[in-house]
Amino acid sequence: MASSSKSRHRIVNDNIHGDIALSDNEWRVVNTATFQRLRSLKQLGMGHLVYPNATHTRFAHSLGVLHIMCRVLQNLEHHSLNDEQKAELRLAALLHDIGHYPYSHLMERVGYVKLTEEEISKDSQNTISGQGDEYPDHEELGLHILESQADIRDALGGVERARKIGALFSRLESTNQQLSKLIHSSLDMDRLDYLLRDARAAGVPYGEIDLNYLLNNTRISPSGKLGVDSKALAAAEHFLLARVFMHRVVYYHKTTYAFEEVCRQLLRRVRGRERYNEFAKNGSEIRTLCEGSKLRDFTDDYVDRIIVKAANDNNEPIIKILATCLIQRRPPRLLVEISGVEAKPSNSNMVPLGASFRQRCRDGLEALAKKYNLLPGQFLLCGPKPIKFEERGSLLTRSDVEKLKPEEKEELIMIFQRGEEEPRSIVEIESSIIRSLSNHVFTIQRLYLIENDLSEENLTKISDEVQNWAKPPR
Amino acid sequence: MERQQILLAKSLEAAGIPLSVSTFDDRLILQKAVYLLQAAGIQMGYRFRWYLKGPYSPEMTADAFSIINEGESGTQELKRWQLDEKSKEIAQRLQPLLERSGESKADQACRLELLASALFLFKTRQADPTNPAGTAAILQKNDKNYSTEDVAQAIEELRSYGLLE
Repeated sequence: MASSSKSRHRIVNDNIHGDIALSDNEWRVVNTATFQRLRSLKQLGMGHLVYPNATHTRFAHSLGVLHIMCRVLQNLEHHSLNDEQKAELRLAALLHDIGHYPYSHLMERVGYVKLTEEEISKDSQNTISGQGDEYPDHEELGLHILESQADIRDALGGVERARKIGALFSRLESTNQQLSKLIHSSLDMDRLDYLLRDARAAGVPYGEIDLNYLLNNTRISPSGKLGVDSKALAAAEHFLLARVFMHRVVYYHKTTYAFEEVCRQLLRRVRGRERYNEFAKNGSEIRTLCEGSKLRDFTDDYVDRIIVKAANDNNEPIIKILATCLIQRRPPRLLVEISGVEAKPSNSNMVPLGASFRQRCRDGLEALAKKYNLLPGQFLLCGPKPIKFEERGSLLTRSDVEKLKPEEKEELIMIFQRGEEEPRSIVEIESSIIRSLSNHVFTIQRLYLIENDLSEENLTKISDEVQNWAKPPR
Repeated sequence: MERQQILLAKSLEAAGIPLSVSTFDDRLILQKAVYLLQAAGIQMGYRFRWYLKGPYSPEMTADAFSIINEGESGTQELKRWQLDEKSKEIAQRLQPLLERSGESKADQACRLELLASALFLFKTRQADPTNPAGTAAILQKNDKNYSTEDVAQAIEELRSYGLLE
């Protein structure tokens, strides 16, 4: 980081945006131990196991989001934002990931991970509990950190301002929704930064969006809706498609996703076991951890230490197998992948892609594991969330989208058409490619096997058998 | 189907709220019912933010659509699961608050919007439950046309169902 003594602004050089200017107050925030923790959180989870340079951090991303917010605010000069509101928006952008968990989103939702045994269970009455004290999401945790960590709270000027900024990025405020919307619209600053940053770090071209053209053509309507001028329609469509391609190629890469699924299954299995009592059992323990000095250790290393311990766990074979797979970077073998672009089912008789394969796995995996002396947990039957072409449109038909009420359109990219003061959602624009794709999703179902000491002959037999399950039913 | 989606579907089933997203009122009822069920103690893990119509979770809406889009295979999977007893008890206790016989969908949506919005404001310390007039004023600023009496009644109901101390 370089600093200039003449200027009130400090300049940080960023490989994506070039010079990023920070105000004195932002500089103080960045230099707290609480903010510096973000240097030890990799942005792309386990992406570096496939793309060796994808070791960039939440720290750099947070600065990038601040920079984009600054560019947007320059475009909204005529809008009635006072200096304090602008400062709060910039800080909210800078701090939007302050509550992030280790390894991206991997740990955050560990309580909702389905173990293979649960997926293939033949028990007709499995119990699901709504009484678990699950981990809070990273925005809620961020707000908690701003209120409870003295260094950052003081740098922000006290608890009231810290709460206000936290409420902006976690969208709790009822009083100034327009400001919150700037951070949370579909064209949000978070995505604009991470697509570019992740693509450059991974060395793939798919996230190379036309950031300058998008930002230069962004404006706000008299009623406060953020939108893009119609001349930048192609740039907006490119942004949405880039998101889909980045998911297909990087975020849901078969090997990255396999390692992340192994880690999710491992963490779900160890959570709550006495041997792993340093690993937060529930939401209350996470909140407590984030209130004190232990927050500094809540980094990727926090999970790495659990993995190392689990690799030496001789009490529970599946835990040791999962951890060893991660430590030795031995990717699970992808046995079957069923993927495709799917329209929203038009009637209840339409079977979702991969549904029959999943059913056949449920019927047959237990016996298959027994036959080859494997543990059921060595099979990973999983699928990432469907990738949508547009945040809400993909879940609805075009006519559904046109009937949406204004608040339900907030997640959609809005386009200003010539001669109109208020923007329309991108899926209502006749000439938009996204309009045609908006009721489609890209889905993936995968079956992996952690091979362990399986012979090549047996591996081939297993692979042949499960590939038969993937064939369409007669 | 993900565990969170199973939990959502089973909680709604226990509370007698249909998993329907056909109309805006259906979606609004769903949103506010889930918000109130979570506030009552069923931890479904959805994060609610403040939108024009009060607390709203885009993730929950996405999951509701996904469950419906699973069609018959989803229905079959849901049959393999049951909700834990404590959560079932909470859902059943809240049922009379969530749905009233003879009430139109529009009225139900309007009533649940008030209950959920007021509770959200109290929980995020933006309003004070001892001050119905002040709460009504905040709601009115957010284009919600509820009177002080409406808010006072909502506070009473939230208290009687244990949602507010």
